[in-house]
Amino acid sequence: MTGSYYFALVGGSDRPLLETEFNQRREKEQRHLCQLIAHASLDLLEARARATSQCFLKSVDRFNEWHISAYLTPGGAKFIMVHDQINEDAVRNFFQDVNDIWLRLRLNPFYNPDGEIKNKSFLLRVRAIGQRYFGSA
Amino acid sequence: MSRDETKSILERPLSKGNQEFSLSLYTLLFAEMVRYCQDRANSLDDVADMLAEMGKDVGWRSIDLLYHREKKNKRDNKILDILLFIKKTLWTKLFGKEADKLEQAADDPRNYYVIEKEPIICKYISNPKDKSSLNCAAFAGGVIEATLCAGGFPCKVTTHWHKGTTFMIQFDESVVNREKA
Repeated sequence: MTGSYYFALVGGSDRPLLETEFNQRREKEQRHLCQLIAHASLDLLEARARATSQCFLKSVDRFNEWHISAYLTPGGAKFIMVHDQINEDAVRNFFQDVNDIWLRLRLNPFYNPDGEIKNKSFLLRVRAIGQRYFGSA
Repeated sequence: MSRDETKSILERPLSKGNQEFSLSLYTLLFAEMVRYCQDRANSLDDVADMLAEMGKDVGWRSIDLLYHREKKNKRDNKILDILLFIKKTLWTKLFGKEADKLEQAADDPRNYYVIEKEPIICKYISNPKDKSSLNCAAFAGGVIEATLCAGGFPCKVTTHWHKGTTFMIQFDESVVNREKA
């Protein structure tokens, strides 16, 4: 399925730790817009998180043609996906797979709590997972 | 070196988490941590603070993994649920048993107590007379604080000598208010 997907990993203190895109067929300005949309959705994400005990918060916000889906880990890291196609299952699976490597990263004693993610293989893994779910058919 | 060790941490399988190891090793390691803190601190309060800081690291790192094992893709969004998680799951994982008691303060809805008669990490620590106010279980207090804060329940945890060791958890006003709503 084609479409634009922008993914951001936000730490416990609302600090962005990692961002990447999949299938961006738009111009460069789009990334700034996505950052803004993702940032604006944080409050709604927190409101939704209070009401449910699921990690996957489904769609938390909308902005024009953009949908914002989110995942909150028990340890307070937020995964935010800004996308222009409704594709809930793929997004959920993507989040769960990212969580799987995120909790390994967290166990790494050389990774500081809520520090910038400098581990290159983490980004590569995230991109590979993204390709699996959002790669063009 | 086996092949497994050369893999990056992201590719290694997660351990099942049911290994046991010797108490003497555990307490020896902890004793060294206490000594490390003591050598570098100016006062007894400093020692407790440093131990708590070390505990926070442990708490922050274990919370996601433990939830992943216990209840996949679920979080806790109620005070009581996460406290029970700490009393049962976290405590069992770290100290091999559940915490002795969990109580709510009668006078202040923000305060909760986790009571442990004899914290296992302090089993072989006997305080000299002039240092009797230092409770090395402050380490465990730090673990509790980091777990709660990371889980979205900002709070302050202090460690006291009372009925053994009591960890006093004081939640932020906002946490209690949203529970009422």
